[in-house]
Amino acid sequence: MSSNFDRAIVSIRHHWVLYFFVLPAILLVAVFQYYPAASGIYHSFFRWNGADIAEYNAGQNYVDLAKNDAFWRSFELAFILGAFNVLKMIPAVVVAVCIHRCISSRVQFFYRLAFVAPMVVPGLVVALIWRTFFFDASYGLLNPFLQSTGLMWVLSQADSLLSWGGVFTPQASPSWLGEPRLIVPALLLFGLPWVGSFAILIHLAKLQQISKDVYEAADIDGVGWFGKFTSIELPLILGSIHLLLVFVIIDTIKDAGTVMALAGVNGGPGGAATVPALFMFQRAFTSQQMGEACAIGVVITVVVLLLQKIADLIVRKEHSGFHFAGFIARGAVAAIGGIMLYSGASWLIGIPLLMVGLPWELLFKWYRKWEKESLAEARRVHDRQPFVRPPVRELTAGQRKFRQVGLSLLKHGTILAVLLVAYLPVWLMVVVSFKTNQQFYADPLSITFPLIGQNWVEAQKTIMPNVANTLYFAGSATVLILIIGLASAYFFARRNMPGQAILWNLILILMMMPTIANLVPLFGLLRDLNLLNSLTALILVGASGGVVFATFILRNFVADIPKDLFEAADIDGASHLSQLWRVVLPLSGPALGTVAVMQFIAMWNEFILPLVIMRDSNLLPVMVQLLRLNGEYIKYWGPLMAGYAMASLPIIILFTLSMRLFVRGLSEGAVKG
Amino acid sequence: MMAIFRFLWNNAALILIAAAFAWAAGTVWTRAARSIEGENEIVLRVCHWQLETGYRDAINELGKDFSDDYFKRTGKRVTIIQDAIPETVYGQFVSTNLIGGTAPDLISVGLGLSNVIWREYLNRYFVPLTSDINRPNPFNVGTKLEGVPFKQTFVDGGRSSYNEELQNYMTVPTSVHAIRLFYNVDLLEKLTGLRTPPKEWNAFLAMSEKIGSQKKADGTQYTPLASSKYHFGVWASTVADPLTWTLLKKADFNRDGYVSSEETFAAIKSGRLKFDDPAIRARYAIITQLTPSFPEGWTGKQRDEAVFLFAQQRAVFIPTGTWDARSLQQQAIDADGKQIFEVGIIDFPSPTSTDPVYGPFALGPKYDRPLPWGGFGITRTCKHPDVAFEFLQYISSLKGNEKFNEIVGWIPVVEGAAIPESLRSFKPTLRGMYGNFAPFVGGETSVRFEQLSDVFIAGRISFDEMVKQYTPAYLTMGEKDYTLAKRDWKRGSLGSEQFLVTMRESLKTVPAERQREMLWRYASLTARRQLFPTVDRAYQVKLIADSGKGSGEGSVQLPAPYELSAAARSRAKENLRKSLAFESK
Repeated sequence: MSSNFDRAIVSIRHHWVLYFFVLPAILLVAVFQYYPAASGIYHSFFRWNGADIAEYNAGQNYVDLAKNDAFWRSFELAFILGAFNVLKMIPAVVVAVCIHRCISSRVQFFYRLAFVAPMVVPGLVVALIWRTFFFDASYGLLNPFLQSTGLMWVLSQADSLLSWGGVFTPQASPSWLGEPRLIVPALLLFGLPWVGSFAILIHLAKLQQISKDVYEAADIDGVGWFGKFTSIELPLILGSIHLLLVFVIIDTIKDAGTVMALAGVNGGPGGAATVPALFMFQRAFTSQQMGEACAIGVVITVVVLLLQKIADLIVRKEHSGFHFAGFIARGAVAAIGGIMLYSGASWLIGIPLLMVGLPWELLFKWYRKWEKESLAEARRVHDRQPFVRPPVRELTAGQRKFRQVGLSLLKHGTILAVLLVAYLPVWLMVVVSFKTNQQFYADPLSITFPLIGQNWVEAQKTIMPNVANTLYFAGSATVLILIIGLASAYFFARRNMPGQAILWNLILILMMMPTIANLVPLFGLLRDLNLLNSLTALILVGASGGVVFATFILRNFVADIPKDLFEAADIDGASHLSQLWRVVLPLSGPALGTVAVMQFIAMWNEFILPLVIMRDSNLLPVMVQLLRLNGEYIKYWGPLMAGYAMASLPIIILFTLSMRLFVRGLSEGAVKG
Repeated sequence: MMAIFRFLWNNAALILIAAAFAWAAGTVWTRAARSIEGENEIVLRVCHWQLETGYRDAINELGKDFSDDYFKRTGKRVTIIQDAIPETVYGQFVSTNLIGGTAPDLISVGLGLSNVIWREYLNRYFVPLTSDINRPNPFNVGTKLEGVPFKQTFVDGGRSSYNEELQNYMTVPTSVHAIRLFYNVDLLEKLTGLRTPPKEWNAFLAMSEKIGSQKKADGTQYTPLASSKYHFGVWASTVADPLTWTLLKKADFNRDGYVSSEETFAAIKSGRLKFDDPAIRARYAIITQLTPSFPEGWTGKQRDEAVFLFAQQRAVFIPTGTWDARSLQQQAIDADGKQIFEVGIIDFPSPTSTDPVYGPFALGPKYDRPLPWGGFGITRTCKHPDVAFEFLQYISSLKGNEKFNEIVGWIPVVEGAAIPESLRSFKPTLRGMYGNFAPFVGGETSVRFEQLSDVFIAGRISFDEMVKQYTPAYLTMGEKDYTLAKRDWKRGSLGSEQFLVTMRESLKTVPAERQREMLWRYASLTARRQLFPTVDRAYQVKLIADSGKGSGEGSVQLPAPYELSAAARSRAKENLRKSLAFESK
């Protein structure tokens, strides 16, 4: 004990300067993350109008929420979307494997490059395009597609068989965003073919680590293409799937922007598309029930933490040990889930709660024991029999060629089909950007002449100042994130310092905390700091969230730098600042690049916070400006689409230019899964 | 040289990103430096949701004129900056900026939030204009309105500016709106042989059915009525709502000619009115007759998407107001200025009193309330409230208002201002029925009502099912909303009390010959501001408090509105007789 204490004293005496490395990060997260969170919890116990009325109501907000059907429905919807979002991870895995299986590295590079543009088009732009060009019942592409492929007939048959109430009939064009029962399927369909921005690259980075020898060995053993996937590729990318699963869960719960862009602030017809974050937004800024909105924020945070735990339990296989407190907590959660199921309050909430409460560790332990015993028995039986090598199926040269060509066709066909669907919104955006309204009314989907380049000039006048705003705030915040993140990562990775574990846990918790949950108190904080309607607010808040992520990623990177380098620097008398500058920085290029690209794109696409805190149109980030332009009563489609394209171009260029660095960062473990 | 080139080539991405960032930073900083308000410059921010053609130009144009005028008088320039916010996020924008203390100087009032919340915001964040609006508008000097109090220069006598609950004039309007049915004359003729559609309800429905049964050359069906959720609201307010006029007799407890949301709550809570009242049922019945003529998926369409159908000549009719008149006319002209189709404007069809279903409720024509809405209020955070009010006076002066509405193509709000030629057909009908259906009390009830209405109009639940689901929610949530509204009213009455105290005190100092006049004004204001609203509220509270007691002892024994006891009727007759006798002297 005493020696530990002495070591701590020595560490502080010799390396006190290290605390200054983490200080900016701590200050930033304390002010813009923890304070709003604490304020949110505090105000959730008040009837608060966000300004001058705050009456303590002793948890009445929570009671009101518990009684509010709309609140429960919003979580039901989030669970449904979450479950489907997990399924939506599959296409990215398939595409990544198909690209990885391409023999030519040039073809691989081409496909990777081809996926960049549709993948990084901002989510808001994609949502607005989908709303108009896909979901609209009169001229959207979805209904004609279903009609022409006969899928509408299938759906109508299913409708009459399963009594959906006549939502689908063979000749009708259903309103995907106007029919209460179709809006949720519409949300599920949105974004087809669901190849997420980073997912493919993350999977590819993992797959690149597989040596060609492994495939050759598999070929010799006669392993088929699917066998290679299940035995070689899938185990390797499971880690990144786990990581993405966590992001998917958090994103589903905290996402309000997509639903808002597709269905409006009221959550579509009957509020059927109201997700928890949107419900909170409505309570705060439409009904002016800020206290209740804070309570919803608290619930969202708790649910995200719980879901993270579930994801952890489901994906991780290694569980051992018994913790009494954990057992009791689990029991309580399971009991609540059971009661909800039994009383019929909400099976969609009850089942997940019950799942959290189940003693997974014990179940896994029993399963492994059973598996081990049955395998041992099978092995004993097997060992008693003489070994017979299974006959290897010999293929003729023609069969081999046929199979090779077939697989190649399947591979490229899959990639091209996904690319085709992925490029459809981009195509529409570009084509319509060269049309007059009359051309658009006559033929919205194909190229018409003359091409109207003037639309781009008009869009440039409307959009470019906002592009500059976004470049400025996202760029500044990214630079801040890299500087502060790297310094704090150095603090956490370089030496064991007193208090380091506590600070690390404080940072880790923030990784799981959805920022939107603290939107209302954050708004109050920015008002008190006189930062509303300023780009500085966006920079600081963006940086505070990004620093958490950067610290988390970069700490692993710094920790992996060989200790010898630091020791040599110590012997040369280099200070910590000098070591950070001369040792860490030169080696962290790829990781910094990955963090920078991810954070920059995240900030570029952000629009809920700017929507709430920004006023002046000349200060607006580009996404909010697009939302405003989209609200015009008579739309001039050409300039509008040119504006969408201009808002997407910088991010496409950035991603294309930095893709190599980004992928290198991923390969070197920037995002460890 | 090669080394430089190689460096540039190797770091092209970084250099490009750095250059882009430098450009962005330069743009932001130079703009920040420019936007600092100079010593001789006053900046006014104007926030509105009017994204129609011409409105922003009109504000800019009048802003320039006002700035020139102001410069001549004071040597200072006034710069008008507009925050034109889409309808979908207008409520949120106003809320966040008012609460955050970053509100624009002038805000157009009335959209995106429930009336209760607007009232609360007006109370907390806006400057009362009562004293200023009672003075003549200086910009009317030299016109026939010279010397006339500002409020009386409006076509509605300033009624739309006055807030009953806050007992103050809070806004200044700029235009009047009327709603009409626009149609594609050529397409109507092609499909039905008519150039003017029928006015009678059933004939109009039959014509719509005929249009809907025909197909274009590409196989797509024609849509009789281009509609979205927004346009549904227009139909509801013009065709369906007037059928609820008779609710006055059940819920207009203060007999001011309108059924407020609070009165509706008191009536529902006390059982004097039910949501399945025949008049309300008729309102929904007529709506369900309309919707089959709407385009497929109209519930998911936005306002511009219905305009798209009309402009594409796939729909014959579109209901909208003066605000869209110019935009729609523009859609009928191609890039070379050639007319693609003729746009006609008519009044809405309506059922007659002989109609077997709607007859009992269709007691006359639809009343076109002169609709000066979306008036501007001045926020308390405005640095130059006097200049902001002057700007409003300028824009609503006789000449200013004529010019403003000429540019935007709307109807002027100022009495005697010339109406643009293209808007003659919008001349309002000032006699007839109007809606008295106020189905929600505040934020909570409005969200629930809207959600259930959506499900109803999508045909997923029946009227009875909607009523069954909404009534308990309304009674529970409405209680909360009503309490909040009551609190706000109390806050307003405190401000009013301060005003009256000041007036009472000033009575001591004014000359004797003015004392009588002031005393009369004091008594009148006290009655209007304190007594009548208090009595109204007390009546409502009594009704609510006694609800559920049945007709037994302790239940409310108050008569229904417009139903007077024999004694009261004879007292009224006696009073009338006395006053007539007094006047004849």
